[in-house]
Amino acid sequence: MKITRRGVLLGVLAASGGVLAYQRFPWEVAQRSEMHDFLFRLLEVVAVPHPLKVGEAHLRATPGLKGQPQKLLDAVFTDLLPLAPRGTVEELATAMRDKARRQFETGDVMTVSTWILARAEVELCALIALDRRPVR
Amino acid sequence: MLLDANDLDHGAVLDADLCIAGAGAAGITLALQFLDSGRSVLLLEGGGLKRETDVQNLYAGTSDEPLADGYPLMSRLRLLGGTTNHWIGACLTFDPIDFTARDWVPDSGWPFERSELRPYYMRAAEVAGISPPAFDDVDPTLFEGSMIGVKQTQGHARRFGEVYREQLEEAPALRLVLNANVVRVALGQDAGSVEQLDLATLGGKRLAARAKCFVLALGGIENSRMLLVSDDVQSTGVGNAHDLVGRYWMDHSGFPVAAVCVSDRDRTLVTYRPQGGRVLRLNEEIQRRHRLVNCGLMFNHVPLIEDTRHALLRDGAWQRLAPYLEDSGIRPESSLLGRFDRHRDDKLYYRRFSLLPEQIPTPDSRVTLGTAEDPFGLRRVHMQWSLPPETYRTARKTAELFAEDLGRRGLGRVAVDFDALEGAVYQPGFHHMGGTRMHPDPRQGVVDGQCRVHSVANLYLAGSSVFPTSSYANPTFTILAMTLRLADYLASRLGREA
Ligand SMILES: Cc1cc2nc3c(=O)[nH]c(=O)nc-3n(C[C@H](O)[C@H](O)[C@H](O)COP(=O)(O)OP(=O)(O)OC[C@H]3O[C@@H](n4cnc5c(N)ncnc54)[C@H](O)[C@@H]3O)c2cc1C
Repeated sequence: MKITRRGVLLGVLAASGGVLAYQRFPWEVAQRSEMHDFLFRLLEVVAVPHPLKVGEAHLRATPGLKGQPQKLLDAVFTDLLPLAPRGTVEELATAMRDKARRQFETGDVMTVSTWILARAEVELCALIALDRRPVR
Repeated sequence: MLLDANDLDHGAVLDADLCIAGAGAAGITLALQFLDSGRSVLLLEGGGLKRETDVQNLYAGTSDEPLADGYPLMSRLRLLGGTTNHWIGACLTFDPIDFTARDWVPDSGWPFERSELRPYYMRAAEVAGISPPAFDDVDPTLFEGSMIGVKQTQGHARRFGEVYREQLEEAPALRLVLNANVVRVALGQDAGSVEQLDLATLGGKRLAARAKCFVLALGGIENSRMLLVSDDVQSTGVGNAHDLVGRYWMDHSGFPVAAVCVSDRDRTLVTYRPQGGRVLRLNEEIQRRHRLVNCGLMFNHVPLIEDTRHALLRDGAWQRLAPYLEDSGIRPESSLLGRFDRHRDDKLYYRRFSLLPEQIPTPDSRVTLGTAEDPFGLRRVHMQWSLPPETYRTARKTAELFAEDLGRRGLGRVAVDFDALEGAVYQPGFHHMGGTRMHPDPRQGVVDGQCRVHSVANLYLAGSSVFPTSSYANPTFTILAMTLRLADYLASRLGREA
């Protein structure tokens, strides 16, 4: 499955109702199922074992985030997208892994639900946790 | 020669150049060094060849929480070979930093550096029946440039009584006396030297042992107790002018509150099988920078948990895979599981591990005398174990730094149940240390750098009761090395006196 950058961002935004973001990225809406799958694939490269639990815990601890998906999107993807010119999962996954490593390097880590993770990993988990509605 | 005190005459006095009390790991090791020395040796053992209930019960005592009352009885054995009759046999050298005075660890520092023990560790390996120890970190490439060092444990549960009995029995100048319980260290009237050890059998016989030099090798609790109960010449006991005997007592406590999760991508840590017996720890520079005590990270002796990501999301699987996490809140929708079918074969691996912080020495942690008496009329022990809170800070910080190091290297992610760590009722590790700590200054230690009781010219202590600090490493290998060092010293002292 090839996932476009547009699809990545809009899938998440559509799922979480980010109208503003839609205007910033006026691309076709990707299938939400693909979106979710994609986000999980990203997590696989960094071995975060309980993405939903971690994401929900982070959202609970940071109440403002729930209505602000754009913040999470920016935090996770803004610096990843230039590193993934073809927009493949593999490219993004590599960029994601490097980002997590850098954050461990600089101590930009968080402890959520007992797991000690890079900030980007936690934010990615939170993105997944934003989208918990049943799939049609 | 093997003797049984029950067969000796009531009132008999046994004489030798060297008298060693206690035939466990330390006592037997010491005696073995004198087999061909031309010196006569008495090796006194309170137990017999087999475990007997009334003999074992001599060890009974009481304890304050968190130790159970049964702790003094259960955590050692009273028979030839001592507690090596049920030890696991894990052998590991202490680290150089364990011997160093660290300003953030009160009362730390040994009278010598680890290099002093190096040749004795080599000899100790022969006594323990293992290969020469690795002093440096193993796996230098795996954690190259990282803050983590890897120590190799060797395991061979040699039963000292069984293995060395014949050698001891056949040595012409050695008498091994079973069922000979030391009941008093009898000082001369000036209290400056030991005249004899008073001995007793459970059958009611009284005997005595006289020698030029005496060594108590009664174990990490009983060494303190014997000095405390011998209070007829000095009311506070032998070597206790500064109220130090019994204090700074330590045991290892493990906190099994952490896990590492490793993905298919890099399974380096999956190969850290328990059989490998490897212990990870932060290197010295990091310990200094963060003012941490030495803390081991030991992967637990439970099978690795391995499952697919698909299973991770199945109801119930969460608990099974990560039992340290309360995970009841999340019940993923079945449609989500469907999507995971595509990743059915992707695996995650979990390994649980324990944090094993060195215990910070504290005078409040101690062996004292209780009110109950044993059949010889000696007061039984009462244990008071306390673990300073700094221990928890170290365990926590060590786990965090370990997590960061693994994250940086892409080796895995770490979970620590910090709440459980803070609230943990710590479990003892049956590694008795301290109580008669070593220090050149008599106001700070019971024995000097040669393990001689400061105020007594001819009384030495062997075993972990002399350890000033505890490391995270199992103690017995260092007990053996220290005992061999003491043997060399005593051989030259006895040689000079002859
Ligand atoms: C279950 C268990 C597992 C262990 N596993 C390990 C391990 O894997 N690695 C490790 O390093 N350590 C381990 N240990 C600790 C290890 O057993 C001790 O460190 C070691 O045995 C101490 O040696 P010792 O000679 O000082 O004392 P002991 O081996 O206890 O010997 C003391 C001897 O003195 C005798 N004695 C006591 N009182 C008197 C008296 N009044 N008169 C005459 N004789 C007396 C006793 O009968 C005994 O023979 C373990 C301990 C336990 C309980």
